[in-house]
Amino acid sequence: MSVRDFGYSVSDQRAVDLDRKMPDELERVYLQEPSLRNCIACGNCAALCSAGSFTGFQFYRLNVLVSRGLLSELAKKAEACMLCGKCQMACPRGVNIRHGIMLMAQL
Amino acid sequence: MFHPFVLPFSIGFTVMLVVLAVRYAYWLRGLSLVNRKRCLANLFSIQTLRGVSEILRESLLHLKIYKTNPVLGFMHMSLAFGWFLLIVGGKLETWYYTGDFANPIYYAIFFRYFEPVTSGFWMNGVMVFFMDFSLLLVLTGLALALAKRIRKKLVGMQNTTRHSVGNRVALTFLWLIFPLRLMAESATAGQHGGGGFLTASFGEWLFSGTWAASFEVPLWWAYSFSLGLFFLALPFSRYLHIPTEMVLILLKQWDIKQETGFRPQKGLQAFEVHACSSCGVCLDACPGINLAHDAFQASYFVKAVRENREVQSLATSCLNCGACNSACPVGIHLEGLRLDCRSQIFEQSQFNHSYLPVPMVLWRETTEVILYTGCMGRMQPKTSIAFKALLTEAGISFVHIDEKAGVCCGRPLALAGAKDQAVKMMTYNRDLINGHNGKVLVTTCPICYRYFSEEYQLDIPVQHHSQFLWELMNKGLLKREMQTLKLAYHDPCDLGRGSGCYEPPRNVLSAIGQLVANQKERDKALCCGNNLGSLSLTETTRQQITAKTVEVLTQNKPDYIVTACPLCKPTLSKQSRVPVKDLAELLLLTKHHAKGHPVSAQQYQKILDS
Amino acid sequence: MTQQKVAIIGAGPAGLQSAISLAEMGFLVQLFEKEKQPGGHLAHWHVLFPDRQPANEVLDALMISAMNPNISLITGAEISAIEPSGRKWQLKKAETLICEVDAVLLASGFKLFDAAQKEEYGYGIYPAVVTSSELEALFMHQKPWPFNENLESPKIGLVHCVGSRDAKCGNLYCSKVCCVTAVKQAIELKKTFPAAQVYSFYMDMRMFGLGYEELYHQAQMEYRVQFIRGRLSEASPADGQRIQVKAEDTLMGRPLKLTLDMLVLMVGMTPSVVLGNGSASVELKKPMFADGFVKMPGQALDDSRLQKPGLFVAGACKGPVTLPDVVKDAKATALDICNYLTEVL
Repeated sequence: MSVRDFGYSVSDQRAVDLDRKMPDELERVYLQEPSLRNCIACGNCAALCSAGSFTGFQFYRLNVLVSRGLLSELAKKAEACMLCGKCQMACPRGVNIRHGIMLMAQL
Repeated sequence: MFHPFVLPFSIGFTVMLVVLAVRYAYWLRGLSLVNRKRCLANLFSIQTLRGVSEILRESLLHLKIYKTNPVLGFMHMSLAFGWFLLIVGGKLETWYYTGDFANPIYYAIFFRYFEPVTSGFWMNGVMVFFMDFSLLLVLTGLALALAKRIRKKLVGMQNTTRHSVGNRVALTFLWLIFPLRLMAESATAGQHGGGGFLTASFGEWLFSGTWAASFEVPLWWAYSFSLGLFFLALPFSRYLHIPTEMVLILLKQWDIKQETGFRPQKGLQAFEVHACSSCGVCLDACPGINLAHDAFQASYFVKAVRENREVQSLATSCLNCGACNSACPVGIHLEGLRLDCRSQIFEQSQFNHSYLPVPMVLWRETTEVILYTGCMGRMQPKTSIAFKALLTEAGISFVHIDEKAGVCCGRPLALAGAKDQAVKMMTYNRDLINGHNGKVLVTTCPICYRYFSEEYQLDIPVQHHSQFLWELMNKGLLKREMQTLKLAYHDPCDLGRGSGCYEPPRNVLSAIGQLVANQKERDKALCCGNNLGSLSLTETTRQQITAKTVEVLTQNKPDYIVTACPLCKPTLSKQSRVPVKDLAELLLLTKHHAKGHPVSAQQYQKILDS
Repeated sequence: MTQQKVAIIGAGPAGLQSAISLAEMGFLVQLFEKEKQPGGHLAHWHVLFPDRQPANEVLDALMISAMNPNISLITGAEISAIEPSGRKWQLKKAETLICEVDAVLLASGFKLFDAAQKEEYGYGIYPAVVTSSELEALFMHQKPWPFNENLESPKIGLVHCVGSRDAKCGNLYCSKVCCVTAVKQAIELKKTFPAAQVYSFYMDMRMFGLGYEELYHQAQMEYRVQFIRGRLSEASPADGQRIQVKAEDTLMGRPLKLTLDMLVLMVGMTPSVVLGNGSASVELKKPMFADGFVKMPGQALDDSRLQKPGLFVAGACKGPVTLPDVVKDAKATALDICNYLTEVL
């Protein structure tokens, strides 16, 4: 059966497919650090990030990747972190960012 | 001289010796080559004698526990030292009596059964008294231990370790040994005469009737069984700590170095985890006791490691504040053990800081102080402003090398178990520091201070700003008058316990006001709750810890809580009604406010203007 | 029949309005205010959202209505405890008995978050950093602007959620009014300095009330206020008295820096009082970290009665609320009190 042409299409490469199951590795990250679910992506962590003044490192963006199940895009992105903990001191949602990073850096 | 009842003891004792020998040999083989060489080199040296003397002080007399908690110390001392006296006394007694030193071990243990009535000159009387006295000592300890089970507060403990069933069985055998010995010896004394002030009178009172004759041998059997079963259980229960602690003391005296990696099944770490007696002294010391979801205290962590159980959350929750470490009477390197465990947990976690450039230093400026405020310092501008104003007041030149941006010192990574991965960051900072021609590196952050001093091996001395400020006051470069201020000082973990810097901040504060004491100071200080050592403690638990710490600090109604750490200060100030200041801030404020009135925030305006 | 007496603690909008309503119903009202002047925070506000009605207009209207022979206003009186005595309640200041009444209404309002707690924002360090409440005073010319007023186009930033929605400060709740206040203040700033560049740093824009979204719209279209989604991280000194702020532009996914002539911190509402649950008496205590507002036992249908008969609560001491809602709540609570007093008789 041919696919009907509606005159538009959604590019599979771009769309975040939430129908896909969450990878087990990421479920485990949440299990070990539940506070990651508490993030509201306010950006405070990135604004004062020590590594962020040298690189494009942004914790809240990594965390969005975790919550959307995008394991492959997460690869190696946590490695720039210096783990200094400034972000955690400021985080208004009390996320254990450093632990989250340690877990993400394992993936 | 033999009776079948000596068999349970003899078998148990022999099995224990064999198991211990095998286990210790395996652990010793696990030591690194360097460490094994050190053992051999120091075996016949003064170090061994020092070790023996330490064993006497710590394994028998338990002086360290005695210092922290006299009742608990006495309990351990009376049990251990009393039993030791019984063993030594027994041996001497048999030697004196038979004139032969090499008699079977069981002979000394069950001597009174074989020789109820001994005679001799005055020595005999002394010996008989001595043996009964030792037994009484042990029984006193036992009574205290029982009391501790029923009401821990009686021995001054808030928290005691919860033990597994196996350990409780071993404990029961241990506790049975001494009452049974008393009964058996009394029965013999009652039937055959002899005995000391305790056994003779007990014997007369309870066992002098003819009916009691049939009790004598069964009681000796029971005594022997309790001994045998306890010895059988010892290598497989927490009582393994008794012999292991002694070996650990020797190993430490032989200058064994911490080994890298987490290998609690062999080597030094095996001795360390098995030397823990689960005495529970670390529980009361822990700022997170009874607050966290996991009971992650050292005693439980070590137990989980020993039993090869899942330790991840126990290892990652702990604040690594070091309170357990400095309280531990056995001197187990608990902080290091945890960090090694973390490095195993996060073995796969990869970091890469190759993006760090070579720090740009335009010219090699000559200055007295190289000031480094650290990552957290940038979130506490009042501290930096105040410290710089103080340097200006004292006429000291400085360059603030991480004012706009900086690179972490590396200790936070090390605290997460990724010490090896902080190398690039350290190189960056070292280059930055060496890029200036300074006489001393001063940092306002205890975390940076500890790491710079321990790991960086810089060419110039490193000081925490409290130390530097005290030097300035000492030299008369900063003059302050005594004020009517009541000050409570909070020891930051990495400054106090971590670096042994207790006096300089106190000296500074004593020069401007009256230091008020609280119950948890210096090496016993509570963590503010935000030590970077913890990875997974929840915000709620951290805040509960902070609440407890604030409560302790405000016990004696200070006007200010003073600390010297950019983590402690904001953490405490969020919850404290008493204003919280950094040492530098307070020192600056006392310049402007001679009478010690509460200071308005506008004060900083003047500082900036000047 | 003697007139029944009601004591009201706090003479802000909630206290004043409920006093007026109760007095009109014929009850004798004793209105206690710990400050020297009545009016609460309203007395220090310039104009109100969303219609920019002058605050003094509203307060004056309330004060005129409160000139009722049934109301006696006692200022400079801080009540520390309320104690039952039979069916009546006694108000106490320390140990001294102040008065005995048939019902008590707690209307002690809110306290502004202490912005100095967020040291990284530089409040109390840099003069260019002010709170939203201080900005109202600036609008009323009660103090000089922290920058040269002749500047052609001053750059001003407003930071939302200072002390609200912040677990670190112990306040997880949203203070509700700051978003729309920021929009209103941004517009006011543009009216005062037409060439000013105004930036608003928000986490979420919560424009829940009628007319609020329109105000937001107006701020964007008419006044060209720039809204940036990202929480400010730190403020540091720049040239002169200016300050540089760093934030993450989360929509861009890039960090952002900006030099400002003034930074306004939208300070949240925090509880002014907690009720100590003593034996029979109710102590009015200073709140501790994360204590929260006065907790009401009632559900949706009963939001003014505490579990102790004769004790009522109205206004912002129950949680963040807008002024119109405070007035409505005060009127409704007055009716509840009236019903209670009629039942008692």
